[in-house]
Amino acid sequence: MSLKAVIGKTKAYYCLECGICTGTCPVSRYSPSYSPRVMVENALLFEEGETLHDQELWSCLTCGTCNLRCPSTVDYTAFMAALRERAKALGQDGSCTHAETLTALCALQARDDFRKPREWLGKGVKVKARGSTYYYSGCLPFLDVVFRDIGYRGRASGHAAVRLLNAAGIVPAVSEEEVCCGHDAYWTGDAEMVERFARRNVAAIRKTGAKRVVFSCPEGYYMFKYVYPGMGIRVPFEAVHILTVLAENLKKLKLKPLPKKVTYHDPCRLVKFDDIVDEPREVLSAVPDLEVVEMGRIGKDALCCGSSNWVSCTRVNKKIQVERLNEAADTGAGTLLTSCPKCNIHLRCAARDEDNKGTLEIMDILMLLAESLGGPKRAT
Amino acid sequence: MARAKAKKKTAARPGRARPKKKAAGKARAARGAAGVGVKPRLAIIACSWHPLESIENAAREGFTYGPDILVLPVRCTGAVTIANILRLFAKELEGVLVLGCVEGDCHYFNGSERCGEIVKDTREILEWSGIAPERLGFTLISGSEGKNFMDALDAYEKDLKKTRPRRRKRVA
Repeated sequence: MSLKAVIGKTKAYYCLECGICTGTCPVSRYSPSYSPRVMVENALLFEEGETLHDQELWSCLTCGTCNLRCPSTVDYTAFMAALRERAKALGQDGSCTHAETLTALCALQARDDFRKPREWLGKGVKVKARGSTYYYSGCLPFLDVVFRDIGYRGRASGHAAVRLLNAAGIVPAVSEEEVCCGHDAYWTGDAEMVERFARRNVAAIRKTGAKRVVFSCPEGYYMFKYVYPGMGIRVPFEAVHILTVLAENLKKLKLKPLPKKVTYHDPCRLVKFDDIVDEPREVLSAVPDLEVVEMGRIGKDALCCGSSNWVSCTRVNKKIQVERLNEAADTGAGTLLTSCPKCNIHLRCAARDEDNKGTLEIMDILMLLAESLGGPKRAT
Repeated sequence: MARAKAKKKTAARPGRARPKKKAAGKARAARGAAGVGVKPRLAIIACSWHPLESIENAAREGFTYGPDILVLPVRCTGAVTIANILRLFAKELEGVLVLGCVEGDCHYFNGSERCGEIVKDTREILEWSGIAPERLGFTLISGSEGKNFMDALDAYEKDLKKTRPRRRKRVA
């Protein structure tokens, strides 16, 4: 797609230069050298190379705050994804985080004999090979290895998700052939990889005969619901987030009292690209004795966790994370809940820092709900 | 030139340890120029100190191995990352063998120990990817005789044969 086509597709030519995007951008607040408005203006006024060789191209968090606030409805994040795709073709790339492990993991999943054995879910949960509801876990089992130092437990989170589904009376189908959803490849400009993953995923899920696919990761949900169909790939099933499913089946869950004071952090993919704002709150309010306090910025106005797509982790990103942590700590809650593995990882990492040693515990919302189900705790 | 000379010298010396004629040895007979136009099957990440010397000496001593084995020298195995190994596996290779120096021999103090941790983590990732963890080999080589390298390669190939390429059972 040429730059002209990108501008046409994302309606960047409607830009009024009002600067609301830059005003709302969490990155611009701490790094004045990055400005969404300037990015769009450069693309409109100058040669393509000017924009594509700019290293700031990789600073965007793709959180989508600017999309929501733009008076001219410019789709800035799609504009960013398309520009990055062009930049990647020129050999440009962002600086990968975590020693590139996650990017390499994505490449590994393109291997023909890649199979994710079901045993990673652990014992005590029921899954089957075929069924009308499918559970998509994405890269959860691998995150344990990479983020062991900050204590993130992806496998336990997947276990909790299936336990909750079981409690709601659903025995999900799980395929060994599913691969990465391609979320990070999409935002870092590798459309070819996304298409390959999309076709493999759709084929793997079709084999199970599923009509409904449940996601515990907001990114996979976003990819299946919006990006795959947008790329012209037919997705012959309904994509739903697990919190929606749990909100529908609250009565079946029989949640036990859990005396805790918690606050909930909204992941961008659920609130800014979709509309899952009330469901988590509805589910949390169903837990007896659980006190939910809200932060200042919630729902569509929520602050991003500060980093995404496994590119660019600089002091700017750290400052955003600390800002969010402070906001959470100010509510007086002892636990910060989130439903996105990445938000969890990023906030955990910032909370571990010397300057920010708080008493805030960061937890996956599904693990809290599974704890409230009672029963044996899984030792991992 | 020096290489040819060394080879000649070895051949002239009686009683020198020559590669034993084994089935595995025959299979490894060089097919054409090493690595040219051949799709790599195995990759060997070798530390530039003992292991790489050992590989070079193996060639000098007249040992041969298949042209589908790609040798990638690194300064120290302590610098190898999970991503390096996974990227090699992503290229549809059958296996990756990491060769480091024996603990205590590392020129940079604790490179092979650090690599041991990386290998452990990578094996865990491979395990959840349906790739047998044994397909990532990790051997420490002491001394730079060619035989050390050939022994390590033979042992690794034997392990590799045991692993079925597609499915495996959980080990740990």
